Amino acid sequence: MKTRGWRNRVGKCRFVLSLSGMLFWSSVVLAQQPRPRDPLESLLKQVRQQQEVEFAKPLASFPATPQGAQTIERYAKAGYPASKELAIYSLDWEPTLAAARTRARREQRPIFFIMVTNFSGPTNFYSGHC
Amino acid sequence: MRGSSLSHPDVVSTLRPFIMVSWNGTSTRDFPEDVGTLYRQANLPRDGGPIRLFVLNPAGKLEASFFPFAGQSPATLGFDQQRMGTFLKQEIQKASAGMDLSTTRMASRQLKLPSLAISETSTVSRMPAGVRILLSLEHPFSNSYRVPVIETVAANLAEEKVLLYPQVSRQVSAQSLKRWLEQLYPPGMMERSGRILDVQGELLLKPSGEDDQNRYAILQGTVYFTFDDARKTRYEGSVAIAFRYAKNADQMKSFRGVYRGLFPKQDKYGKGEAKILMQAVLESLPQLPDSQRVGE
Repeated sequence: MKTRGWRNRVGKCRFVLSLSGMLFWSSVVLAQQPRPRDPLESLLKQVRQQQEVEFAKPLASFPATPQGAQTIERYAKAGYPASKELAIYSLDWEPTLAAARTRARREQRPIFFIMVTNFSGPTNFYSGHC
Repeated sequence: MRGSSLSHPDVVSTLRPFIMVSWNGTSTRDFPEDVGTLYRQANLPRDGGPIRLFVLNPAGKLEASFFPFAGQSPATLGFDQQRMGTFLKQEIQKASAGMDLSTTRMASRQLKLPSLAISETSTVSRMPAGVRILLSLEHPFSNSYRVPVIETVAANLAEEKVLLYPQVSRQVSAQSLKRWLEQLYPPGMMERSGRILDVQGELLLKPSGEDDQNRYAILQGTVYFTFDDARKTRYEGSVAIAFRYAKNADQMKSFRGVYRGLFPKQDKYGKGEAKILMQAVLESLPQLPDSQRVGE
């Protein structure tokens, strides 16, 4: 026999289950929606995506004229790294420890020696392929 | 270290009195005698990481040795250039505390980019001494490429022949300029040799008119690379180079060009791909008189 108390308990359970189901599915839907981002972060991401598209494309075909050649030269000039990026090349480098010792004695200057033992390679710290 | 702490403005200033030198090898077994002696003398712990730093006095004697980071890797300093720079500057100052550098001559601020030591027996006639390649890279979320890679390649006769002035447009195999193009790869991949295995592609060399002083030619096309990592990564890029020739000679006088492409770096644990932007400037190095020749 189903008593009134039993029916009430079943009714309450149904209500709790449907409520938790609704809450669960709403949280899933909300999690899938894009979250508002920091506008700067969003802009940087867009710029980066644009750059990736550009870098994947071949360079435009340059006309076979002196102007076309000079345009390539201008592109190269514009692509030259900034002095700030090249600052380590304003220091006085020598190719070997022996050459550095000779120069240090001659100019009475100390030596800063960087020793790199990477397992992959060969590498070159000075050129940057390291 | 090269793109982070070493290029920090305070570290560059601190290093101006020093003569800089580096040595690279895949293990301590590769040491030349003088480097090995210094290594043994310093007796640094073996687990401090692959980069070791040494300060020597003007007589060439070891003053101090240390590691560039507070632990084995830059992670201990949060990969933060400011913290890494401050740490390195302090270590250099500690290491050179015993020397009076107040009157020591400093390196000028003028850039001295890598150049070529030219062989006295070079048979290359009118061609420039070689090529300098300045490769700038940008990783989407790593700061390891702040300083460009700069490679130089001495000219040879085979390239001089390939690049003679074209009376009509002709195909030039990328293979014939392999020694230049194989410099176009990202550093720090830490897998296998981490260098280029193969270069393919057909480039078009076309005569491009003349003006009062020069004749011009343009070399342009797509280059396909195979990289020596665990996956033999393939990538491609676009190159365009403008050559200048004297009006009465077929050997070029100078050139300047650009390269642009992407390197698809796979995550070692299969968690996706990061596209590294690669942009390079290729420029000819002039033949210098003996007195001005600069060694690398």
